[in-house]
Amino acid sequence: MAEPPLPAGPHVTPETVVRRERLTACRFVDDWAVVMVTRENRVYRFEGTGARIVSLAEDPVSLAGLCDAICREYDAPRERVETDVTGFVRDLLARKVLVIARPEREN
Amino acid sequence: MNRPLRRDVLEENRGYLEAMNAHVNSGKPWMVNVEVTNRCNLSCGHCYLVEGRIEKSGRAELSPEEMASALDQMRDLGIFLITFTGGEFFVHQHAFRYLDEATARGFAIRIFSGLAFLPADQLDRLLDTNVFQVETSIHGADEETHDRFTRRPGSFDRMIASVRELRRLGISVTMKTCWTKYNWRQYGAILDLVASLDAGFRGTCFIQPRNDGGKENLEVRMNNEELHALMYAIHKYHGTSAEEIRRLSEVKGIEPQGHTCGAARMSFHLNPYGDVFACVDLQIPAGSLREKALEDIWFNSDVLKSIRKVTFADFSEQDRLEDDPEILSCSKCMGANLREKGDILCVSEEAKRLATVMGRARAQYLADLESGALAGADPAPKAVP
Repeated sequence: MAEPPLPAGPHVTPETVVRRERLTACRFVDDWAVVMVTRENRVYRFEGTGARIVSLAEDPVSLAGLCDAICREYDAPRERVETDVTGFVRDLLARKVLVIARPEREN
Repeated sequence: MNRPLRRDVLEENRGYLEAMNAHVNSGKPWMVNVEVTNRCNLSCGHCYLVEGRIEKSGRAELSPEEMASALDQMRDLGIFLITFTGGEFFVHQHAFRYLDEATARGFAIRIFSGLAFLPADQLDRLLDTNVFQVETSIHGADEETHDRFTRRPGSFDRMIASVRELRRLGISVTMKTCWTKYNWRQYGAILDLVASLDAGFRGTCFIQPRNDGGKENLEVRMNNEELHALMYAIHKYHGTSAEEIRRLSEVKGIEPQGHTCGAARMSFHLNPYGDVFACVDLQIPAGSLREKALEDIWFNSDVLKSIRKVTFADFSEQDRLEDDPEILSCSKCMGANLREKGDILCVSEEAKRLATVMGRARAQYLADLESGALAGADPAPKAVP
């Protein structure tokens, strides 16, 4: 059965700091991340870059920090990485896999 | 048509199952059954444990520090799903501490509990943990039947109140019935009650000897006539179609190199004293976490290695596996074989009995369905001898 469409995730900026929701079960298998969002009673499997973002968000990390890591590890153009990572992070926020730790980086 | 019962969130998620299989195929376990205590506030008639309300082994249960170390080692092996059980899980003084510790380590958590110990108004504490499912037992459709079986007055009311509260909190509940000669006639009322509580359901008729070899608990088993009547009645209750009956009755060939279950490959069992077993029913200790690291036990224990490599080709009646419907269709549970016959490779007579009688009940149901006799049939007819 198809997943019902989710509302768009919240607006994020490069300074937005995200982390994995505390009440998630998560393990990494091969190139996959398996995540159960406990209070939503949902299970997801992410692959490749998605799995890496879930891994990087185990501790609080800014969107810019995620993009830095993905650019470095995948040798991809910055502009495209920023578009993809922003969209993916918003989707993960909507699914409650990630939460916003801080709206903007503290100085 | 009766209401469909809830399903487990993990059962139908293909991506999850593929990841689990990949992990298991890499040689590591995906799930573990952690028995935190053998103490229990109930004394259910069918139970395989002998301890009851007080610890009788004279051995110390794992300390919180030992449990934390065990959880670290399980996480490092990549285990995703942990089932906390007992005895009664909630009688353990550190039950919530263990839930917090497992949550912090990123496990998905399931609890097996009689739900008759903790007051229902304390269950909201589970919302701050990774507990996604609670499984409990329902031994009757009413207080009299359930409490007589648990030998604990008030256990039915407390369990039902807890199930309602868990569902209100959004936590999945599966209710399990061990069908016995004392409750089988209540099948309809039990299934109606479970559906009204928006819970999942599983039933079994497989009652096995106690851990100490005692057979007093087998007294609750149904005889063939009762079992036949129950199985026929349950099909009638669910309105099982002829197509589904044929599918259930189809005797499939067994791949000789196939495994009976995931014991020692996908999962293992940890008892309250730190002993590791392939499964709760395979009471052959593989090693102690008080003496060895879990990784060492998992990869190097001779017990686990020998159970892990068992295939159908190893069974003592494997020659009958090719064409004997009785053997083909029955459970090959190595734990049941061990409890009953002292040999994991010798198929349990009780498993054969259950498969045979269930097969006859299906055949009678199908014949009545197709001849039009089902509509007027007694929901629980006398069995064909």
